[in-house]
Parts: sequence; C-alpha cells; structure tokens
Amino acid sequence: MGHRELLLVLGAITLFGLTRLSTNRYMVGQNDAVWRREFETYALSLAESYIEEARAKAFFDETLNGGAPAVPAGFTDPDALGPDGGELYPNFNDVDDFNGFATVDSTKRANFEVSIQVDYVEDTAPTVMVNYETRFKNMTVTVTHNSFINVSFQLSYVFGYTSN
Amino acid sequence: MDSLLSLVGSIVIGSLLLLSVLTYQLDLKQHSFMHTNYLIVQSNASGIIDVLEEDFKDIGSGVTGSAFSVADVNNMVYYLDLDADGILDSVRYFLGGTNTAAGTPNPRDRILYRIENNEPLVDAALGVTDFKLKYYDENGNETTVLTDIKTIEVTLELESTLPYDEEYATFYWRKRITPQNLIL
Repeated sequence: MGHRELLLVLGAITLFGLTRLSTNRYMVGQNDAVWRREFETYALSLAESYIEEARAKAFFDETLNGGAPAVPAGFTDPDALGPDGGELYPNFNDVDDFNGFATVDSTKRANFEVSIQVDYVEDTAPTVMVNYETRFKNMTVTVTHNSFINVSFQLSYVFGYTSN
Repeated sequence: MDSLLSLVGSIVIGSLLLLSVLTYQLDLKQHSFMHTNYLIVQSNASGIIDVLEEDFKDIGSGVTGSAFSVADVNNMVYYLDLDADGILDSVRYFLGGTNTAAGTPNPRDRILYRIENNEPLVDAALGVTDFKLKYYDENGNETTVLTDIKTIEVTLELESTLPYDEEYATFYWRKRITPQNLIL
C-alpha cells in the first residue's frame, strides 16, 4: 500500500469516526429529551398531588381555639405554622400543617425530593408573603431530581378562608 | 511478499470499516425505533392523562349523596351531571384483562375502558399495562367507605405495543386529585 492509499484510508476512518461521534451525541440528546419530558410530567404531577391533598384540609384547625376564630387575628400565629403536637403526615388536619414538610418520593424510575412551605400572603397581593395572620395562605411545593437528569419545579397555590 | 502484506492489511482494514458501518446502521435503526416508541407512548399517556384529569376534577357535580357506587383498585363508578341538564350520569373506569389487547405483540398491555351511562365498550389499545386507584379521606387515610372519599390517587403505567429486540418503551405517572365537589 502506497502512502497515497494509506492517507485515503486514514481520511475515511477519520470522517466515519466524526460522523459516528456526531450521531451518538444526537442520539444521547434525543434520549435525554424523552426522559426529561417524563420526569418533568411526573415532577409537576407530584407537586400538584400535594396541593390537591391540602385542598381536602381545613384552612384553619378550629379545634385549637375551641371554635370559630376571630378572622383573621385568631388564626395560627405565623411563627407556629406547621404540624401541631403529635400530627404526622398524612394525618394533617389543616393546610399549614404542610409547612416545613419534606420527603423523598420514590418511583420505579427515580427519587424526587419534595419540600413544602406555607406562608400567609397579603389579602390584596397574593404573591407577597407576610408575617401576620390574613385570610390567605400560600403553599409552595418544590420538587427536585438531581441525578441523571436535573429537574426542578416550584408550584404555588393560594388557599382562602371561607366561613361555613 | 510486500504485495501480500498489503492485500491482507487492506482486507483487515476494509472488514473493520464494514463492521463499523454495519454496527452504526444497527444502532441508528434501534435508536430510531425506540425513540419513536417512546414518543408514541408519551403521546398516548398525555392523551389519557388529559381525559383522566378533566373527568376526575368534576366527580360529584350535581350529586347530593355519595358520588361513588364502586371504588375498587382498578374499577370505579362515579356520578356527575355531565351535560348540566339536571340528570345524573354515571361514568365507569376499569382495566380489562390482558386478553382484551391480544391483538398487539405486547403480552402485558390491556384496554382501559371509560363507559358513560352503560354505553357499549369501545376498544383502543394504547398500551396501558397498569391502572390503579387509591382513595383517601379528608385526614389523608386510605379509605374504602364511599361517602368518605375526598381524594383519588391514580397510577398509570404504559408500554409500547410493539417491541424492538424484546424491549418496550415505558411510561409511569401518578397523581392525586381532589374533586372540588367532594370537599364542598
């Protein structure tokens, strides 16, 4: 084999190698997109699940004050938002029991970290957190997945007090 | 001697190149098939999830008593006023056996049925391999008492109806839904 043929063969191998590398990168990117879509769908549904669960709870635990509270001054103190003594998930009885809740949700696919924060928000500006009692509580659910594919979601929902 | 070496060398290099090209072609074929399978499964799942979410959020609308007549693991019958005409309708969701989707190569897929007011069954093999329901009361405890149900947890698993080299594309989803009419 002369030098000319050898160079041609080397050129062919290099071109093929580059094509193969570029195709591999493309395939990995496509697989990543497919998995990402499923992980994001699941993470979003997981965040919505906790909000849906909290929707079945009372806005305020009236058993604490022995009856209907003065609205909103009689609601739980902002610094005391969270589960009351002895309350453990899933046996929460009001929305703010979810404050500070954190868990790891395991599926066949992966583990998702969940953390929840509940705050009072301004009556006229539901995105503004306040440190005093109002008729509205904002629940923010954060779901993250940090290995293999990074997914992070934050979903908020505002609960309003309605007297029966 | 020199030309013989060149010939053997050329045959070895040519064979290696040919083998690489063939492997490359097989990889591309597998990726293309599986990627399409995943997209089909996700598209099917997305369609089913849309219907489930839309349906379940309205459970119990216009109902004064219990909104459920059956609440099993993969069989549920509930009531609502579907077309807001003052007449209650019933909707049943249940998962058929593996024989219901016997026309597909996947031995695990089944048909997820949705029946309004006892209408005839309509088959559509979308690759559902599991559909599980759990029911929770207002305290977050699992319940089987129909009048206590406030939240429903749905678990859905899908697989592609066609395999590639015995491998199926899969999809997993789970969500809790609290219908507004059950917490009024």
